[in-house]
Amino acid sequence: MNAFIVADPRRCIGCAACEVACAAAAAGQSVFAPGGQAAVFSPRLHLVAEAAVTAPVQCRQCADAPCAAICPRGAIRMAEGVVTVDSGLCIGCKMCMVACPVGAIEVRGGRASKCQLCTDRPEGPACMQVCPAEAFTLVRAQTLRAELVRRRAAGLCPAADARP
Amino acid sequence: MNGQQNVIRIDSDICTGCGRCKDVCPVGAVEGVQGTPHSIREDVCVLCGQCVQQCSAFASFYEQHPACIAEKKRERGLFVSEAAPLFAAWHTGDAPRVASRLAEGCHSMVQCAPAVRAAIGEEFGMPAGALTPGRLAAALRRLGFDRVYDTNFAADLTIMEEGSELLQRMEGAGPLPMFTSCCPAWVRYAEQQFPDLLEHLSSCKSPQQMAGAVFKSYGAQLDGVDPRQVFSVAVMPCTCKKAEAQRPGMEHDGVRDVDAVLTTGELAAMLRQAHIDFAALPDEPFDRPLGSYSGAGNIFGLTGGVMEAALRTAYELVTGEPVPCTELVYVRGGEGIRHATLTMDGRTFRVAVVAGLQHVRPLLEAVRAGTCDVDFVEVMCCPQGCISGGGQPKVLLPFQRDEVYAARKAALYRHDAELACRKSHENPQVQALYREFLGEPLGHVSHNLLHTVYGQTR
Repeated sequence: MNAFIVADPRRCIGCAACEVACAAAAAGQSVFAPGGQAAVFSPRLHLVAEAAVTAPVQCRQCADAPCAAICPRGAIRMAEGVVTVDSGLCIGCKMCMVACPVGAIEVRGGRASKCQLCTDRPEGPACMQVCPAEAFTLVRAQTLRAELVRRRAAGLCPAADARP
Repeated sequence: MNGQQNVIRIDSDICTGCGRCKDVCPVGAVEGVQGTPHSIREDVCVLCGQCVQQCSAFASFYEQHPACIAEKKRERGLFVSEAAPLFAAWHTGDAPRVASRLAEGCHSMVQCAPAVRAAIGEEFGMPAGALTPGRLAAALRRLGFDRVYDTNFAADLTIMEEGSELLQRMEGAGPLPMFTSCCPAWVRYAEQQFPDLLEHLSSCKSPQQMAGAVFKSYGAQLDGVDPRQVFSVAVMPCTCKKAEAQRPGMEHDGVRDVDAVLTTGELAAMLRQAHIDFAALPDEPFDRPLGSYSGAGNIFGLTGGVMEAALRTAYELVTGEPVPCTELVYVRGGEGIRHATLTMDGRTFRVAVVAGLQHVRPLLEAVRAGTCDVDFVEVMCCPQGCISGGGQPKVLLPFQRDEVYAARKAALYRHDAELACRKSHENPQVQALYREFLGEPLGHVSHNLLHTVYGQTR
């Protein structure tokens, strides 16, 4: 499986700092820096806010990604475990938006835009770094295995209310 | 009512300029630079709606659009409460207008094309290829139409007129090859690109227009109403039919043959608005007499169907004997062009079937050059005939398209095979119409009601 970032709605406080941090990372500048207000606000994750629960939603880096399968120009590919958009090939047709089961890809400025795990960012994913509630987890295969072992050892059922 | 010119449009607020509509436009009418909103050349567009079927650029929840979505729905002739997403390529809509006219109370007559009954179930969660003529008739009745008639009846009528016209031409009464005139997008293309060949087009109106003309003459007579009081509605798999209904010449004594055209998708929207659960409806028959049809009329909805229907009747008219095998599988097929021959009374009869308007040009150039050795040509603009029309339920995922179209085609062939009457000239109600009202094919009344002059574009 590919690594992906997922947020725990039980921890999320709905502050949307992750959206701001993501947009700043995408724009390559902080909104608090001079001229930052003019930067394009284009976050690659979205805070879903309901009355009872809030959580940001972003790409699950599907192993057999429907967005990549549907793309008529082959612009979405798997690159080192990250579902990656080639902006040079993307034509902005939105078929990927139709195909995505979680609503984690969108067309902005005529090109598909999605969470690519901030692989180009030395500090790691901006959303995880900024979240005041530590709601995000970078899930890797070994994280899941460790969790599986932990739950079995504790004699808990898989639906047990616990976090790694 | 929307003008004839603008049935198909691209919304520059929503278009992302991906250019996929260009891939399916059979006439190259879409222009624009990649990445910027595209536009349609109205002088070239044939209004087939394939771009509407293909377009995947929808107005996303996350984006800001200059005009509000409700405003756009009103502009497009959609119900504001309809939840379907808005795509950049769209066709004008007439459902709210038809709904309010029905609510006002009027003497309404409705027809629906063959391809509608093989596709509308998809709008209500039924599998592709669900064949629902009985539910369709029931649904139209629940919407309040006074007479639920059928375009299939008029398809049988078209065969009587067009078949007779063809046989007259074979005797030297007009130029060959003769081309079908059922597909308005094809007629529009011929008028725009090959005006010198228009005398090769059959003078027959399309089944939609023939049905409308008969509704407002014979049908009005049967019901004892003034033709001016009749509200004539057509449900079509086609976007170009909206423009065809408004053509000059598609009227009689100042009364339009067809007052409003709904697409399959628009009918589904009307049913949802009226809270009619299509899948739960019982099977009901179409009204007599103008809703009775043969299997031949029913296969007009797919490529090769008009040809097959015509040959079933022509063979019998020429030889006096029924065609040896009712299913003329050699004219069946998919996108492209195919040729076949049939020997009748010692004479070899050469036919061609074109599916996909982009494939017709070489044939027309051969006609122009005098080198086309064909007698009769069926042309359908859309890739698999009307079942793949621009007004059908949208098949958004390209890899599902072939499968869905094949299922819809199989449904129409299945329906043909299960009907007792499979030849247009054997439809007893068509025979009665000639006996009681029209006289004979190509007769005086037919000439006035069922034929037109192509080439008058305004």
